[in-house]
Amino acid sequence: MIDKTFIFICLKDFFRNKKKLSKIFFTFFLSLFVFSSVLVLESSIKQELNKSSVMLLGGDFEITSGKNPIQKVILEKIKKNFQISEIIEFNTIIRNESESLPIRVKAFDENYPLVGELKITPEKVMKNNENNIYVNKNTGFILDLKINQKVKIQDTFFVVSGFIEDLPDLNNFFSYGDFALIQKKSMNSLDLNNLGSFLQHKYKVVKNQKNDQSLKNLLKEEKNLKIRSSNDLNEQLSKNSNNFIFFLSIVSICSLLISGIGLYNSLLSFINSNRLQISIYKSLGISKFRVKVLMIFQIILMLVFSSLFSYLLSILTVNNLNKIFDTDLFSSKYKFSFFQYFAILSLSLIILMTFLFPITKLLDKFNISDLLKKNRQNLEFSFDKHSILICSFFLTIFISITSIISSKTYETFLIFIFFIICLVLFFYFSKFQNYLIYFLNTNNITLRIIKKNIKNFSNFNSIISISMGVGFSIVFFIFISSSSINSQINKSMLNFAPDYFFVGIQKEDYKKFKYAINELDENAKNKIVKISSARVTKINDLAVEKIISKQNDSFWFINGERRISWQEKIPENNYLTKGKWWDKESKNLQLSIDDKVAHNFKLNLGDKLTLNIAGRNVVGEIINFRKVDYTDMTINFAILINPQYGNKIPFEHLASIKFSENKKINLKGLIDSFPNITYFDLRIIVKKTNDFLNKVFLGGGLISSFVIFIGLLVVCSSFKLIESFKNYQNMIFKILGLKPKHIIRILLIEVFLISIPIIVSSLLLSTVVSYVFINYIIGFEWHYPATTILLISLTFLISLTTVIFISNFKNLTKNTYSQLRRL
Amino acid sequence: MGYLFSLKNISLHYMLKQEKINILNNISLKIKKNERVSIIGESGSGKTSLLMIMAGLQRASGGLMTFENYNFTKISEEQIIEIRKSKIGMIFQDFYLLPNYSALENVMFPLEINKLINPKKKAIAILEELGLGKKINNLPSELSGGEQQRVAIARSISFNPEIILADEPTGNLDAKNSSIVIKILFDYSKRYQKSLVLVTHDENLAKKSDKIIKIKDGEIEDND
Repeated sequence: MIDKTFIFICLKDFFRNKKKLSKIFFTFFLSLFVFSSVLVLESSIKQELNKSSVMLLGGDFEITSGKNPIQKVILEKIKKNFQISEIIEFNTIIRNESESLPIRVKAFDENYPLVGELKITPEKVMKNNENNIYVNKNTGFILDLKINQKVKIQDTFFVVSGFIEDLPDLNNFFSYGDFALIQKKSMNSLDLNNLGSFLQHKYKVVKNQKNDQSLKNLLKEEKNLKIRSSNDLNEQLSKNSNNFIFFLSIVSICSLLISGIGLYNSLLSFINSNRLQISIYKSLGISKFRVKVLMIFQIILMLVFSSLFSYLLSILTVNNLNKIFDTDLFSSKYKFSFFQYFAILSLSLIILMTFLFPITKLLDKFNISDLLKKNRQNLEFSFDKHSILICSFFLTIFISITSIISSKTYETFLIFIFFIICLVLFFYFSKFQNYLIYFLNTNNITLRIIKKNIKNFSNFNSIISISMGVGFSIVFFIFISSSSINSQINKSMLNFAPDYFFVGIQKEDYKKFKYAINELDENAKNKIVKISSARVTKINDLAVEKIISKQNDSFWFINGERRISWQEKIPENNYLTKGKWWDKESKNLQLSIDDKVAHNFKLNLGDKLTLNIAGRNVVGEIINFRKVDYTDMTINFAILINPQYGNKIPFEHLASIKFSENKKINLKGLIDSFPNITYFDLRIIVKKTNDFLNKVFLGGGLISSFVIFIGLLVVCSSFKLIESFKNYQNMIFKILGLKPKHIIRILLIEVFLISIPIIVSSLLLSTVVSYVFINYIIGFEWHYPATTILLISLTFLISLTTVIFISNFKNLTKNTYSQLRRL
Repeated sequence: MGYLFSLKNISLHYMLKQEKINILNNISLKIKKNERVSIIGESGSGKTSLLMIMAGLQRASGGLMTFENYNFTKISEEQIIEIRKSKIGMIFQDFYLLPNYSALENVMFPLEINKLINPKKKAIAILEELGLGKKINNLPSELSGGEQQRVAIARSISFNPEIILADEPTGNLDAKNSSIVIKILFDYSKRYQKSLVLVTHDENLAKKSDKIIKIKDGEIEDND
């Protein structure tokens, strides 16, 4: 059937066709470049995001064992399979000769840090024979510390060996404000029993590359150990990054679907441009089967070359993105992965196979008489039942594979449904357009030619309409979704997070404190609330420890004293999920509870909580639930009480202060004036969180812009499908007396008549689908960037006009006769 | 007597890999109104190129050419198109019919762009006269070669042009169809006193013309 000679003919034909094939190669390449770039970007960003969260935690996992260390047997078991660094954290007071300051101390072992870098100035190694201490810059500033100066913790002297510029595992450690690092062996000189309830033994754990045993499995029997992985580092960050990665996979699927459109159009162009050649082959006695093999061979060879080339280029591009965008978002050492290339090639082959069968069926329609009669009439092609069946088969395989490998199978499947609905809708839409054009009765020659063109090229117009419709729907969908996600990320940025928290402001100090802040910075934004302490002892008269287990996600709510507050109005960043705000007539204790706690404890409105406030048990009624966003780092409370009751109990004030940007603030005076006030510095963690979100923001914007740009190119290129037919017709128009500008006007009006209704419809469709996707699948707030969408649509129309104008003007102003002979 | 076409020292050449290829050299000729001229010569002698220059579909590299009072070598392509639209009818060996237009629509097209009244009625009348009354709604692909050429002739004469430029109109036709096509062209030219320029390599056919111009290697060998 296929002999060596034939393979030789195929190869020769492939190289002889290089000019024709180069155009197709470009389309293939563009489509596959989008897909492979998104895949490479996705993997690269996943790696980097994972690295960021691992860095914030200080390892892949963090085990907390509370006041007591982990038993040696268990520790040995962990050490066998993982790298581990042991840390002890505690709150204490650091003193110099004259002053003191509350700080959080981290005592570390020789393995610290397992990931990331500890930056100290001046760079100096701790001396082994002394108790060394590194302090954060603020502590150094407040206590006016110098290198080698001695400070005291409890009764032990420590030598200041450096100031901390940055440390990797800031997560949670930050919330205690000022901090210091000491060596673990120095702990021997401290009295651990006097370190209070904030003492915690922590273990940072990194996976051993040779071992993939799950830590959670290894420690499943140890109920007292709390294990956190880098994935659940921070709920909001994690939600953002998970959704972002899901969004990336949606974008990569969309890019593959766009690639599919590109592939389909290029195949049609290729077969069309080889029409004469195929007829000649047939006239020379080459069988239908061999002609098909000849074409398929060239197409597959092209696919292999272009996929390889596009994959290599996408790696090169991604590896250089950090330099281009001056960021460290992307992995700059991304390497060729045969598996990934194979996945790209296989998925593109499945897409190719989806369309190949119906397109090769077209080859049967080219016959020798066409060649002899110089027939340049459009091909009539439509999918018969057999073709539809085969297309559906391959499409089902493609949908199944990509949905299964996606992290969110169900949601990915829904995106495909959206794609299929788009295909069907725009198929009928193009039919409807043709139907409407049929009723256009006019004596105007321009409009009559347009009507004739739309009718004559209805087959191609259907493909163009479907390509444009699906392409635009995907592009708009990606755009609206990405701007909603980016808007959410932007909101998650801690732009409004305060710089400091001040706790323990007494009633009598309140006015003085406010005045002092105003003196420091008159533009400082401050929020000062009244607070008290309470412990939840009973729920509906049942002791909490009997009905709430330690494993409950909201156990913290009943574990010890909680700060409570009262406010006249609902806090700005909270909203009610159930119930009403305070009943001002009632003098009894009313409670507003965190919605998530209520859910975890299965609380209902009207339930009674017994609170121990200042040693007295008081029963309060839950009258509403609130959605509380703790991630914005502003003042938030899980329990709010009604002001009528709150004003009757002893209280102090809690303040959050955000100073003006770029203003250098010296807190030393403030701290000296208010020795009883404790303050927490939030600036480092705010910066770290914002850096992380900035990366996600930039990555999302970059990828979606890239796919949108290529998507528009693919849509634009769909008009190239009928270019050769149109060129021929336009040449005859010119011979018969139509001027080039008249012909271009006809082409442009025709393109606008086809594309504007499609742009409008795909915009409507993608608006609805993105609304559902963002609100109900991603769970973010939907954001509609109307102006930018208008700009994108206008840019597309202007680009399309320019492309059509330039390509046709070039053809129409060239020598007519030589052009005609070439066509 | 006024000349419809006047060509003086027309030359055509192009560059191929830095080598100058001469197609036409110093062609000078004149065509009167109501004159039938045949241009004959071997394949590759430059006769079709000469016709294309006359039609304004190819710009000459040098020389002077006028049509009526228009200097084709000086005016813009837009102006040439405007002149061709109403005054020059073209017929090609490969027919060059609009592939997706029926026979009737092909013939109506020049009538419509020239904004002539009753284009449909006129087109049907011409097609019937040329024996295509029953095939007016057929697409070119549904017509034989002879029929396609008759549609092309109908299209070229439909708007009553001053001159018909025919490039080997019988090149793709059998003897029977060839004689039909030639008869139509000559009859039209004589009946309406219009000029006809016929490119052919059939010397017998050329003899039917008032004047024969023989071209060899891009130069006029004989101007009878």
